[in-house]
Amino acid sequence: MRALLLISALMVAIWASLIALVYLVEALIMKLIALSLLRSVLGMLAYTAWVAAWYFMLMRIAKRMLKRAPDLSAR
Amino acid sequence: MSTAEASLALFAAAIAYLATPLIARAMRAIGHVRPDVHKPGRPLVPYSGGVALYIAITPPLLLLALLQPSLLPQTTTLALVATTAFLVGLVDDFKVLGGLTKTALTLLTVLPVVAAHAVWPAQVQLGHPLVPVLGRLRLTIIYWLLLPLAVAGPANVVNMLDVFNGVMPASTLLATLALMVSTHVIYNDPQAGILLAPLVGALVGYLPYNKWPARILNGDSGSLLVGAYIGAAALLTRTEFIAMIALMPHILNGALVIGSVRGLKEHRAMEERPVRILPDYRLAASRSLRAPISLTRIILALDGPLSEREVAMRLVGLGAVSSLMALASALLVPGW
Repeated sequence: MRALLLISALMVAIWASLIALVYLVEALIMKLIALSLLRSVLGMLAYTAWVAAWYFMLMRIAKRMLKRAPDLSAR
Repeated sequence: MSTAEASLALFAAAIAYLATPLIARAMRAIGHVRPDVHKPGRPLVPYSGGVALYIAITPPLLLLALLQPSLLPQTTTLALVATTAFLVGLVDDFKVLGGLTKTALTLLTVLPVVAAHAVWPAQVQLGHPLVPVLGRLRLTIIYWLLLPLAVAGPANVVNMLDVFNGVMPASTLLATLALMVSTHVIYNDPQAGILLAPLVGALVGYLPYNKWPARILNGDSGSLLVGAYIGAAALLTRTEFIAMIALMPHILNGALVIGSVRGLKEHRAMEERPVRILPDYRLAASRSLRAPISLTRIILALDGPLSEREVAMRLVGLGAVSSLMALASALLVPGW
């Protein structure tokens, strides 16, 4: 059940950070910046950065978890 | 769930339950079978269970269009999306397409949604997804840039996690139910989820035949159809954000696999498998650095070795967690 707990925790973290990002983009970029094009570019940059950050973090976490795989060839 | 939703779901469930064994028999008769590689002796199991799902989904959609003409734009769109995805999957089931070709063809599944928006702009509104905390967003550029992926994305990620008996119908049933309940919560309308009722019913009626040990395998015709239907229904009900959360295990798995193999590859074209089958038919994570990283491989690295059924239970468990998060997201959408 360790896998279920760990991956669920990861999913909750992704979900919570996405909701926070949606709120921050609206509050800081959409409301405070007047120029429409600049708003769009900054908004897209923020979401792209979020996706990239989670992607690299996910790959790193996954590789770390895979190192724990039991070496069954020794059995 | 309203009476209309329940009746429609029941209708689809009855068709799926009755049609699936007939389709399985027909597929076996024409020799359209695949080895179930995780079972001792690798038994040959009828393939393309998507045919049964398609047969179960279409009549309830037609009935809905007849009984509620106001929903004609939505039901027509869903029927066309389902047909396109199903046909792409069926071609792949019989004549294996390359990873890139299949993905490119699934991009076509968004065309009925765009066409419906052009023909019925008042009924099929795009660009206004409902999100937690903020409510309705007005997205002009980013929405249209991402739209081609809105149907092809769910279709392909559902397809990529269709690896063990029962996982595809069980996990997508949970996601579809979460989406259905979410539309009720958001719109405060007991009939708001009626577009999802045919899929819920079809999956309920089909699941007993695909659960471990499977008597029919879904094929791409099944997984692409179900994923595309969820994506299109989310667009039509403006619940794109909630659908994305409900399908999070599928999306994570897709990102891990595509990232680790550096591109879109058909699983049959991958040199190494992420999972090893032990002599006792339990599954273990591959220790090869060249093997793709998948959600299953991570589960096995943490908890393995496990039986196929134990891995499937964990994957469905993750689907249950993401479905609960989707419901929580719906509760956070301000009153509509």
